Amino acid sequence: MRYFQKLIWRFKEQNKKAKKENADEAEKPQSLSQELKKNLDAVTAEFGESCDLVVREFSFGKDGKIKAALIFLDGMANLPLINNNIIKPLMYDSRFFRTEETTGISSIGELRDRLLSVGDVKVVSTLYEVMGACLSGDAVLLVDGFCNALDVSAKGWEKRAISEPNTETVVRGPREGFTENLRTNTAMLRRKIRDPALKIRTLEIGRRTRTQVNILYMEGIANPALIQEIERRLKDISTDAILAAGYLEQYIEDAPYSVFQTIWYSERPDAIAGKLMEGRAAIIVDGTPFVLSVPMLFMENFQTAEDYIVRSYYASVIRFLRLSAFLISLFAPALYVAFSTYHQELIPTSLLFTMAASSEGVPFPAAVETAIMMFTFEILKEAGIRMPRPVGQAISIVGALVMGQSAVQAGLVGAPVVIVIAITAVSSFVSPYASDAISLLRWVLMILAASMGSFGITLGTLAILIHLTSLKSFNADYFAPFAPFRPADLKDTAVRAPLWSMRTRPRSLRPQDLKRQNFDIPFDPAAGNGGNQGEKP
Amino acid sequence: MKKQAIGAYRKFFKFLPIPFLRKYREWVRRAAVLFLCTVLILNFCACWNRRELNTLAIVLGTGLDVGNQPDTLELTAQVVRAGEMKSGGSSPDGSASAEKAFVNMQGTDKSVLAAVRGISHMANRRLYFPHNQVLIFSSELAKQDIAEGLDAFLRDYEARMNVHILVSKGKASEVLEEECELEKIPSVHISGMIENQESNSETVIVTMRDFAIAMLSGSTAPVAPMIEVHESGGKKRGKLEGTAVFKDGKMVGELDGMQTRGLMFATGKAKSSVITVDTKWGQVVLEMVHSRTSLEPVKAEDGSIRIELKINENGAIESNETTEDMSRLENLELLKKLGQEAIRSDVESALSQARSLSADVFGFGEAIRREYPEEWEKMKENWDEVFREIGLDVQVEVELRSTGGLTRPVTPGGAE
Repeated sequence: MRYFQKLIWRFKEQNKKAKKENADEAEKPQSLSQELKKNLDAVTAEFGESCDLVVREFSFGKDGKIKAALIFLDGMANLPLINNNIIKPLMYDSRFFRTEETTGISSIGELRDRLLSVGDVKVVSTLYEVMGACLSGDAVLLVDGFCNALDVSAKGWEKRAISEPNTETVVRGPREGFTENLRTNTAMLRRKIRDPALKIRTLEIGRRTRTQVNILYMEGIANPALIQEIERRLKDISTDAILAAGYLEQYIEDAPYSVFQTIWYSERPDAIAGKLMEGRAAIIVDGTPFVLSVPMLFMENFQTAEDYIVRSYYASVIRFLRLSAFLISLFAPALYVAFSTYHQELIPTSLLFTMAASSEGVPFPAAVETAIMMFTFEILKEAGIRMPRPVGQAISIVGALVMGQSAVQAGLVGAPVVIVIAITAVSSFVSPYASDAISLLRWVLMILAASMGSFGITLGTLAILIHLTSLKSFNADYFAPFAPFRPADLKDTAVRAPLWSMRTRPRSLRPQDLKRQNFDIPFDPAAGNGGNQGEKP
Repeated sequence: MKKQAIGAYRKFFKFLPIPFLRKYREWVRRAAVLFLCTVLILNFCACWNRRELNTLAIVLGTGLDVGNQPDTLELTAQVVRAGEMKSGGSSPDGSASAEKAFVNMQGTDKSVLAAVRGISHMANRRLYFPHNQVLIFSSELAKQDIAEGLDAFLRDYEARMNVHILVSKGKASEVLEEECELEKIPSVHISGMIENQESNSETVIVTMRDFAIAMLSGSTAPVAPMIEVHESGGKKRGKLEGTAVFKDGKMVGELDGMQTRGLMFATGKAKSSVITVDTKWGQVVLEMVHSRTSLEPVKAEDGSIRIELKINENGAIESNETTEDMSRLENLELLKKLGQEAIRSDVESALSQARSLSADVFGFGEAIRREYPEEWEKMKENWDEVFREIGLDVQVEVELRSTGGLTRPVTPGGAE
């Protein structure tokens, strides 16, 4: 392990060096010149023959003395806004612009202050900034005679409407899900948490994609060290492309060689808002409807937004169900193989008859049989995801009938194997976060079971447990609150205690403010104080 | 210490180039530790054996008979044919399926294990004993010697201690051929039959473990239920009847059904029993549903030891074949008395039979050993004689808690 760590460290060092060099090259501030023509030439030279670049040259002011040009990328900018709020005031209203009848305008800031009726206007002075503004959908106004320009926010590209999340559906919760648009996403969170303490830090990652990445956290709740650590890791990334949140996740996760994910994600604003309120930080990557949340604990594999919406008895039963499904999908094939090839004495006699009857005439050993069915299932699963929707029907028919029934009838596999793999498959979908890890570990355990029986399963389980307890996610212990044991945090694990009883935030996350509810007021439903008095009086 | 360890480790990894060692010392150390752990783990565990289900011959019942050659025994292993289990009992025309769901394999040799090995010469599958349900000794073999067969099954890792032990009146192999409608396999039928005996307490339920404990105690005589094959309706059916009594590893005699019930009452194993008593009006059946027994040796003033046996039974009227109202108090008292007498006579009949066999089936010796170890040391040498003479006080209490679902008998016009 140490060896690998060294390797990684070396990579990181190299990356840092490379990044520095690149930064030197790319961010060499090439300031704008006073001549409009020179500036336009420079911009068109950078963009080359890209046909979506629009350079609108015009003149304004009294008698149209002042030459100017507006550049933007077609399709990225909001055309009505450009027409009505930039070009129209300049070309039409500036005729009544009285102060500089003789001298023209004194500074480019004056245009912003008095003419442009657009919300977000910034003064920029380098070519790099001009390009950046264009590429993010803004319009840039260059005026002859000034060595700076106006970056007018006119972002307006086509975007998907907010819709119900596909991956995490709930019965009683809110129906909105994140979209690909970063600002929409932050707005959705702002609407959930109307507190100025919700801070949003922005970063640009990817030398070429220049992807907007926002870090969200609750100031006063989240541990400042956590935010620093996230920023440090994000800044260390020196790749040229971040196309989705998953890219980012792989660059900043704690255990890149582990099968377990140490960064949680969600498509639901209410889920992410909940994480923020627990003292976690969220990372939104522009262009991905999945928002990352760190630190992640192992138990988060089994938590869903619905758990907190329904009442605690049912939520606890569902938690228990999910944990059992996790264990089933991890151990069922391994246990089947171990029991049917090593420990026949542990099978109840009448069940043994049934199993023996179905293994009569089956050509393969139980382990091979199980492996075949597991492999088939993985193929079916992958096919179901990748296949074009219209042919989806075919897969379920082929999968259910051919693979299941016919294989048993033809005597290629025994019926118990099909049942075991079916329950394994169904169970693995119950906890979607862990299903990647499960589908890998299942194979390991199955092979151990095939070679050493239940002894092998015990070894494998121990190895998994040791690994889990050694994992960390952004300085939080992954397997907390079980190891290290923190009894107070157990309220939101295998059982989900009533919300009013969860008076503190999870200690495992080391939040700055531990108190979620007022300790002083004892909860008394009869008195109607509701327990949850909030932090503010 | 540490330096030494490092030195040893240097020596051990001499084949590796020194710079490599220096650079990845920690890494190599960890790899070595991991390797050692793996090797130790893989070697320091119990034996195991990989075997596929369809290479096993699952044995459900075992019978031991006297072999046809001198000094041999014949082992019958009842092996399930799993394929036939699945295919359903009867063919479409309603008759029983032609193929039986079991096959009896026989091997004759000088010892049990040799016979088991002998069967392997005749079968492509390995005999697999953990699911063995019954172990049947023929009375012929039981009268010669039971110890060898028992030892083989007790010592083997595969065989379980909760196997039911039976003694067959005829050949054990014939019992395993019995025809039964409710089960496809005779062994399953027999073991189910034994477990079903709890409801009448007329057959002892003995597992190999109980048998071995009784045998090892030295004074207690092991018992086992007996089974006999009857011919009825053109079919051979097994039937449980009586109890075989063992002494010194040999079967010495039998108890009949009533005596067996007495034994069960005396040892507190009668969970539920049905007692029919005769009143002057006719028969009344009592069901005993709860039983408490205490067996205590007491020392008399002259130093002799007597056994005090207290039996407390709780029951109800199960059926009333008379026209008399048995819910009346004086009638209930009468029934209690009759019930007490019936139980007492069962126990005394069991005791006299045990005395005539001089076999301590009740475990009096064990009780004395626990209570009065010093006296036991004196009497254990000639326990057989002492047992024949030992005084026994039987006190039976019968409590009738209910008259069942009815109070008065069902008689014509009884509703008025």
